[in-house]
Amino acid sequence: MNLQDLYAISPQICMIVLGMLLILFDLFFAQKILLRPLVFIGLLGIFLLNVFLWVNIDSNKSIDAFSNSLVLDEFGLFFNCFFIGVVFFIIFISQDYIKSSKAKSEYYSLIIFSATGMMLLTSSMELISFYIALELTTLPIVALVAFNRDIKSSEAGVKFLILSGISSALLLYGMVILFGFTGSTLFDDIANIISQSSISNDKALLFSSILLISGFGFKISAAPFHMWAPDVYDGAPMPITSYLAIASKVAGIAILLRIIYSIFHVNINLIGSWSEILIVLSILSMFLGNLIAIRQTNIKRLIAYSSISHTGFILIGVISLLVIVSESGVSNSLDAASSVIFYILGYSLTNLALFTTVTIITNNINSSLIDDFSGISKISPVLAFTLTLVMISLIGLPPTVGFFSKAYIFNAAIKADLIWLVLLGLINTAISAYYYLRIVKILYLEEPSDNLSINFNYNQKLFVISTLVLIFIFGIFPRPLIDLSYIVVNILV
Amino acid sequence: MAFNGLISATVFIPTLGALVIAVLLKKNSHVFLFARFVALLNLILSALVLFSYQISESTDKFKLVDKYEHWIPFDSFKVQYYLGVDGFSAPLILLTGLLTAVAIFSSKNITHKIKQYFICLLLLETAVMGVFSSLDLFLFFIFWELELIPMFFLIMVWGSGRKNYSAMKFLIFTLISGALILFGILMLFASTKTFDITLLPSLIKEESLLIPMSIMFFVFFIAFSIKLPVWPLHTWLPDAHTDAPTAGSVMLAGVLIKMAGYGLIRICIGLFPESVSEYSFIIVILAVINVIYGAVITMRQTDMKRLIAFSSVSHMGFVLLGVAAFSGSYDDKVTGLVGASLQMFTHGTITGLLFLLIGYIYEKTHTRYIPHMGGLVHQMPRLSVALTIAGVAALGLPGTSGFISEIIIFIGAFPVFSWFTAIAVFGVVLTSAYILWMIQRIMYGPKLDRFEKTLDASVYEMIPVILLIISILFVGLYPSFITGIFKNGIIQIIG
Repeated sequence: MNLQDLYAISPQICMIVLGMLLILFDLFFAQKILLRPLVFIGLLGIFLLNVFLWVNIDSNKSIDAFSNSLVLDEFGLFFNCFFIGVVFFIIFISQDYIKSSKAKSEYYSLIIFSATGMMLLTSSMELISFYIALELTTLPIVALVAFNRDIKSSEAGVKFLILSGISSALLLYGMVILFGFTGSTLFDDIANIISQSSISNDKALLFSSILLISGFGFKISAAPFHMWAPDVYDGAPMPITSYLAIASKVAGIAILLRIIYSIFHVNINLIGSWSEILIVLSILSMFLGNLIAIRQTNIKRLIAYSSISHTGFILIGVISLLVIVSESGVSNSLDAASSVIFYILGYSLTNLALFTTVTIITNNINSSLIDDFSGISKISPVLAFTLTLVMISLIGLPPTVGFFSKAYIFNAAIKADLIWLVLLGLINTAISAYYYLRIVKILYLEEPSDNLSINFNYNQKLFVISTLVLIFIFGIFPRPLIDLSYIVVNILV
Repeated sequence: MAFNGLISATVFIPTLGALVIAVLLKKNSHVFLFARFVALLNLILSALVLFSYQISESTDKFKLVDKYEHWIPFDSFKVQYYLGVDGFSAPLILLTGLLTAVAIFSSKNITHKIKQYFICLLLLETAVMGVFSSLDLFLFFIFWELELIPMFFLIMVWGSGRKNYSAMKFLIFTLISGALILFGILMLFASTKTFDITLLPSLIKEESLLIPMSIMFFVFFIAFSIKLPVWPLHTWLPDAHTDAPTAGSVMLAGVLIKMAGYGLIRICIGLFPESVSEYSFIIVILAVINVIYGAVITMRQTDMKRLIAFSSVSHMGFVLLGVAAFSGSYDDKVTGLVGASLQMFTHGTITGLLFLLIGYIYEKTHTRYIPHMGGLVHQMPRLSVALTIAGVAALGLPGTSGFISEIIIFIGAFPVFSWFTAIAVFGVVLTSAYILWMIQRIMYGPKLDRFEKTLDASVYEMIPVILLIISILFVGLYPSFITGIFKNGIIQIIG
């Protein structure tokens, strides 16, 4: 270990330190009022550190650390910033939820530990650090899901624990097979050894790919590995649901991209079979997610299924990336990779607005049944309008950011000659409109129940309106986001 | 980058007006006044568009061009902000301005959610104007989808009857048509690397397309057929028209379904002329089915609004017939397409007027069920005169605009498909039957006691009616003004 190693993972180290400080703080000070400012200042500091690193890094080079097992590059730094932003957001919308809780500092530090795991995950280049980062991501979430400690929440926590244990086991088994064949844990080493020897068509390798993808499928809640999502989303506290829907999914996609590219840089023919497996996942996710979402009456379960279907759309981008690379080389895949990042950005932005509004509404009406949302437009036009725009963005209609991200991903898929996949995606867009707009209808058409009132403070209002404006602005001028997504993937390609 | 500004203003002033209504205005009476002001302003602007198009001396294909190339500048996805008009779109923009003004002026009895109502109408105007003036396919598509949300809400919130069902049906049909268009334009982009309508015709060649041109043609053709609507994809239209509020029906019949006709000529004929000629046989069969089937179904309707809605199906069949003439000689092509575009314009004014009048009658008698009506001429002389004029225009009486457009279509289509045109002409007979029968059942006959206290339309209510009647008679008596403009546009599209 030398200074460069520490330099490379300084954001992660700072996050861990912040998390520990919070627990210590709780131990020594009875005053809880300073806790939130401390969290915010700490996160801001780490965010600035990331920005500082980003400014100082050479945009075409990456810094390897710990004998190539971790890496510092623009891709990782972007996701560091992204996860810090998401944590910031989660803590922001938790304020009503956490007010009555006694374990405030544990709540905050668990979120921060999990985010640290994600930050490590997106910068790992090797199986073991990848696995450890993954566990660091998942285990705090288990505790957070069960944080309410009532029967529903505990059930969700246990369910998540068991199923994520199984998926980790699958991943680990896949890794063991790889290690057994190659004797190395570094992604590019493994790719190198496999492409040089005669085992590249071995059935066991295919088996290990399937195991790895199953593990991934679980993390990004792609069908048929989605079974946990509805129950866990439903049982978890609302802020944690949003953490699962945004950060957890994005982390999975990010490391998938990193692995794909580190293999592709060695040999572009190695993971051709992945695209076929992923196509199955993508189609299943889109159709299952959308069709089951139609029947949902609980907003959290509906969000769960809708996020499953969005996984399917993101996978379309990943598949087109794989196809383009295996047909015409790594350098042509920039557009496809950036379309995935752009979709992630649009999806996250929309989900930020979705979860803020839904959290405010469910807190006020003490129910997460969609039918109880009736007539919100009369009580709070701002929330109703935001939710409407969010739904339009989730469907992918103009003038919202969701429209451009969908069009962009379809454009990438057409370039990869996946015309029929685009058609399936379009069919799903039409299906999804049905249940998204049903919510809009309930918001606007039905009469509110008598004693309904919605209170939310100035900060929340400001946040809701700013997300609303952003969804709208990026729906008309998407260029900054597209530019950003090109910058992010540039180093991978 | 070229910037004239007039067309951008015409497209976006309604949005601006909607924003002002949303944010600044508090009192309902102000909302009414301001919405009318914006509608009137835009009517003047859209007339100005047509006028500046006429006097413009530039020899470019498209005039009044507003262009900004670097909206989304990536090579992999290059979208421009590119608006402009030619002879084909300029009259349709005027039509949109006219009918939105009519819709807004006629909605004075809206009682709930007044702000949102006018916001929806104004956004709808932006979307339709945008569709008619976009010269970039992606921009075209954005406006095309933008139309969906306001119309959906207009039906669902201010509609009547089975409004939820109709709104959902409208939504799903439109989304499918939108999905097909998106698919089509992305495929075109993948083959030609541009969304620019002015460049595409020269770039599209059979060998450069990813999938065969005929399939591309059918993708767009089906998408536009849903919106036009063409049998058997027309089933959303009667429901949506019937359950929409009056202004919604006026917009829907007057301009929204014209977007499909516009797309058919601008995109299908403009980009895939060979395929249109090749498959004109299918188009003409569909056209005849539309005309005859639509007319026969219309005969059986007992709900006034539904009756007019089905008559739109029949009238849109004539547009399709004009398009089918594309497989003929050059002169037949031009005549058929000029007829088709004129039919779009006249159908907009005539059916807009019919829906408006029927909305008035419904408001005053509280029924749309034709067998319950009769003898209304005694109580509402003004409305019955107007309805008679609109009716005879719809059935194509010489002197009205309906006659001109239908005769031009027949002249264009007859040399190409004599027998089919002959059958379609028979549709005019059916039209006369159902229109005259409807007027007779509603307006004439013995005076009924239950309508004793029913009032006639007020002078204010007659303003939009008279405006539309003037436009119908003007086109009917002096058609060469507007056919000349359409002809310029059509000749350029055919090339």
